Amino acid sequence: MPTLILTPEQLRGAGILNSIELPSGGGGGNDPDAQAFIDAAVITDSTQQSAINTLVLDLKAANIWTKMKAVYPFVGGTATTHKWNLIDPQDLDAAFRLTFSGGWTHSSDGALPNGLNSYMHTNIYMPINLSKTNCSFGVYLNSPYISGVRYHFGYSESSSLTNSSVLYVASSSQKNGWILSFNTLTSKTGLNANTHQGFWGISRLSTSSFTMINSDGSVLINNNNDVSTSTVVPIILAARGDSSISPQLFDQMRHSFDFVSEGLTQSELTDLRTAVINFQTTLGRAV
Amino acid sequence: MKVGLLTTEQKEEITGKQYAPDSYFNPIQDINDNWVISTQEMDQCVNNLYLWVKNLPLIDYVPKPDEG
Repeated sequence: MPTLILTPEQLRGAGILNSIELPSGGGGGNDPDAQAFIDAAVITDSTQQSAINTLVLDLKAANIWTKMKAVYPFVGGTATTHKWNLIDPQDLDAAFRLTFSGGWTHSSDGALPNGLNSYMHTNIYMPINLSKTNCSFGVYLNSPYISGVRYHFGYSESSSLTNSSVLYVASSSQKNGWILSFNTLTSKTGLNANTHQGFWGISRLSTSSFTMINSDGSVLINNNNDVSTSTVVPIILAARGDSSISPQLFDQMRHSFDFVSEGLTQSELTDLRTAVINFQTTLGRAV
Repeated sequence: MKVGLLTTEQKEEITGKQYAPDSYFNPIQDINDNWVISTQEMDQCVNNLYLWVKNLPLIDYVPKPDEG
């Protein structure tokens, strides 16, 4: 029996293509959201395309895709490819694309801040775009630790850090290791001074529920009450962003993944950590 | 660490402006309140309006005390 090969255009003309689901155009079967990102960021490397597609599928399988406000995979090796939000890959501040300020070194391993004046602005503002009592942030760092007070992500409502809502992960030579803080300085906790690289995720599900996954996979739970106010604060990556002053305390470790999300459960944070580690491994930049 | 030294007028001119696609100048002050930018911003600048930053005098950067 002879084989009849029809093009997509011929299928549409016959009214067939519109009645069945086919993979999105040009993507070789990629998830449509993954393909939209690949197209927007002009990712041509097949390994990177596959890694992005698997990441999207993993986030959807874990039922956390719809909770994500922004996911920054840092693929492509330039500011122009690193700026895109996987969740909404439009070249708009309203789509939470990144803007890079100061000096950066972009590569296939991620975005390396200079520790002097560089930071990323997510264009996400709390509590306008995300509730302070239902939020989550995280990062994957894949360059060696450098001592000094360095903020990786998060927000705070004042430069003093006291009597304000604060949620961030930072390194601090003064505190002899990693610190996290929310509400007041008294909540700071020294963590994993010798294992700075890898995935960090923090989540707040209410004023009294806080979870953190450290880079070694261990979990910290703190149910102290936290007081959030209506003060509008930006979400800054690779520096400390405050409501009233310019970003400061700039990071010096390379970011190869960042996310901003609604609050995640411990199980969801764990699933996300697994997906991100797999993503970094596929790209050959896991630590 | 070396940094490029700006005058106050130069700082006003470049603050928040693109030095390369999707990358923006961010002048900061050192311990002596000099306005400076990084060598990455100088080296990577491709904006014709600000190519003069490549010729900025270099000074050693001394940060303000940590506030964290």
